[in-house]
Amino acid sequence: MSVTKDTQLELHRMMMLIRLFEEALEEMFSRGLLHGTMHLSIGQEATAAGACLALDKKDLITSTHRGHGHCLGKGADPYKMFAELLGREDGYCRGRGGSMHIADLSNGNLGANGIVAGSLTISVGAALSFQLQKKENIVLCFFGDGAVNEGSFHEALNLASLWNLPVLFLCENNQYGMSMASEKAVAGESIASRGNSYGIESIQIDGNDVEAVYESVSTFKDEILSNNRPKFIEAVTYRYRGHSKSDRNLYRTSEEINFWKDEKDPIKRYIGKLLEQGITEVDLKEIDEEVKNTIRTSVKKALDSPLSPITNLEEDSYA
Amino acid sequence: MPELSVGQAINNALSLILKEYPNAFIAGEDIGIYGGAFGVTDGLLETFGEERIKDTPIAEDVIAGLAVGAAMTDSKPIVEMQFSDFIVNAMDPIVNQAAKLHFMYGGAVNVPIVVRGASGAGTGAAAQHSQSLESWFCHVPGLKVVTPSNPQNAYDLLLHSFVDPNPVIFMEHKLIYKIKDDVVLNNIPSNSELLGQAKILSEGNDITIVSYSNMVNVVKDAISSDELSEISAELIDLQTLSPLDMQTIITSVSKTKKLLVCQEAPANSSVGSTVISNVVQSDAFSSLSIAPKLVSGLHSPMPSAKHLETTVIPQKEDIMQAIKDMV
Amino acid sequence: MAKENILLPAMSDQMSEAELLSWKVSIGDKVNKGDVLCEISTDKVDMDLESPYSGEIINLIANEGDMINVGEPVAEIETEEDSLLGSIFD
Repeated sequence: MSVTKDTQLELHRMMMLIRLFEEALEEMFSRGLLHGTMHLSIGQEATAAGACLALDKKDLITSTHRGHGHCLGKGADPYKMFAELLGREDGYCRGRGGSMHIADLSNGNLGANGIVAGSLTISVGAALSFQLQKKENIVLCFFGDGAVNEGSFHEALNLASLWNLPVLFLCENNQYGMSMASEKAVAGESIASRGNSYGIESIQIDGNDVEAVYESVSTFKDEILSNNRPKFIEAVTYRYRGHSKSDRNLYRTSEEINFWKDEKDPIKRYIGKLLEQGITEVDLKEIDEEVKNTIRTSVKKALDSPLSPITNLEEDSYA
Repeated sequence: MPELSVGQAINNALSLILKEYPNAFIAGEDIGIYGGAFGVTDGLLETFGEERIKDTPIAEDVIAGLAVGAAMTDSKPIVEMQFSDFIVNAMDPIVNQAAKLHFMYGGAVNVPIVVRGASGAGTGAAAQHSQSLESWFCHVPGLKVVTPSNPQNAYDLLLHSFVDPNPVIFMEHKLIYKIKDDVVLNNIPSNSELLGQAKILSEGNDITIVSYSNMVNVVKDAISSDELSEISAELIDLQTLSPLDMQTIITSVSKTKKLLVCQEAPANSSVGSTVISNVVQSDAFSSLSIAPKLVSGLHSPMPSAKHLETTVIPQKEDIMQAIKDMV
Repeated sequence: MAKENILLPAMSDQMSEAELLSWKVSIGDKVNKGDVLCEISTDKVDMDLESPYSGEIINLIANEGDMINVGEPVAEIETEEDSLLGSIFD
């Protein structure tokens, strides 16, 4: 399959949007504007952008605590995301969910999740709904390398396989849980082999190659719908920042971080590839400027928007 | 109207739900051809087929988790914990997900699930198959907790729990499954107004007795004994444990001036302790002529030998003695 | 080229101030984004403060031993990079 030029520009734009969104949050946090911590996905833009852009609006995703990229990838409005992190009424969750729990149901994002592996079984249930409703859509379940050791991961894969559910399990293996390297946490051959052990076709890909992610997800989506079988992708990537804002990166070396930043950065690599294929620097710069303006406008608007009013929270706990 | 056991009443309610709601389904262990460990789902597979009656592997986490995902996407799942003790393997999807999503998403989604579990002691099933864990879920905002005590309220409460847009934990005491009585087979209600309402089973003036689940039946037995024929007891069946209908209890206690709470679960951090604490903090406090009393299970795992088991669970005689001590 | 202030960032949710322990750069030094500028001490731990820009250090505003609040400037840098959000806060 070859990716069209329009899609290529979209992929670049989405990665830039995610990168600058996260960097803007970093700056706002440094200025003391944000309450609570954040789990930034800087360095992992290709998995979110490549996977989400390969889906339709009616395909669903479930996301993780490191989910800003997934949310943007599925079409979220950065203004409403900034507003959510700032506790504003216009936030996706009216300020009640925050960074780890942003959901955007209108765009098919069933939500980020603060529990590692918390959304695997939820994605199975959503896929069951699609099966019962005879829909031609899939559920893409994002999770990290930390999740593959939780019991719910195994229960979810087992059941999706037994019941032929339309789930695409996508592991963003950034090689560290919080501080534990995945090689110390994951027994067995590889994360992808765990999918195979449940009878689910599984592949391992370079998660920092955005077109590889895009093509794998597109292909697997078609196969899920035509074969009525779930699928599994392990996308190898890397996060530049600590797990959260309290992480001092004692568990890895700056050499390792710099290697991934300099040699394997998904955005740099893709720019190189696009330029080789004839896309001009001017095209790319235009996109970058538009994204910067979108971010700046969104942040300013969010800062100026009203706080979520104090309501009866006990009543709000119930529908 | 037919005479049905609690098990049959619930079966009828489930059947009605599956008929009227094409997007409803049931999932759990051995609920299909086996008919459920207590026979509650007997015959449903034959009528509704494998798509709606889903036998699962032994995997409580995903049983509850799939209910959450399905409920968020226009399905109406009713899932079963074969013994309610197994619900501890499903705590994340119930407590961290189902109970929280409506709130965390600013009201953008509802999670209308029913999680049914067979709870309670008296069958010699011992410590890991006899617990009364309902108070755990009363402690979690976002969940509702319901406990039927007889065939009619088992039927009605299940229907109301089903139409409620919140996640409901529906604990069925094992000993009530065989209780039989006439049941009016009401239609599926348009709202869940029965939830959150306690029921006064018998009116009285001398003492208010609050109970729930199978213990209601033990209390009924106690107060109808000859020895207590002179005592006029007002018996209240909580029916819903969360949210609690404190208004009914407070009005009753203001009248009788005495409060006895009877439950099978142990006392610490329990429903009964909460009821008493709420009454003491209310306007009814000044009406009390004697300290409220809680008759509860012992703070002990359930032993398997029958003669030991009966020492842990409040018996009819224990309740009669408590009433005599108070009135 | 623009002059940008380097502010003391909040490095955790609870942090409100820090003591500047020692400078690792001097006026006139050329630094890359990510290079360590100074060592700071919060009530929990000692940490390195990294430069958010590449450029030339033109002023050291805080002194060794000073207590600085989150959001206050510690140094000034001349850089070609354009701050993503700077214009919103100026």
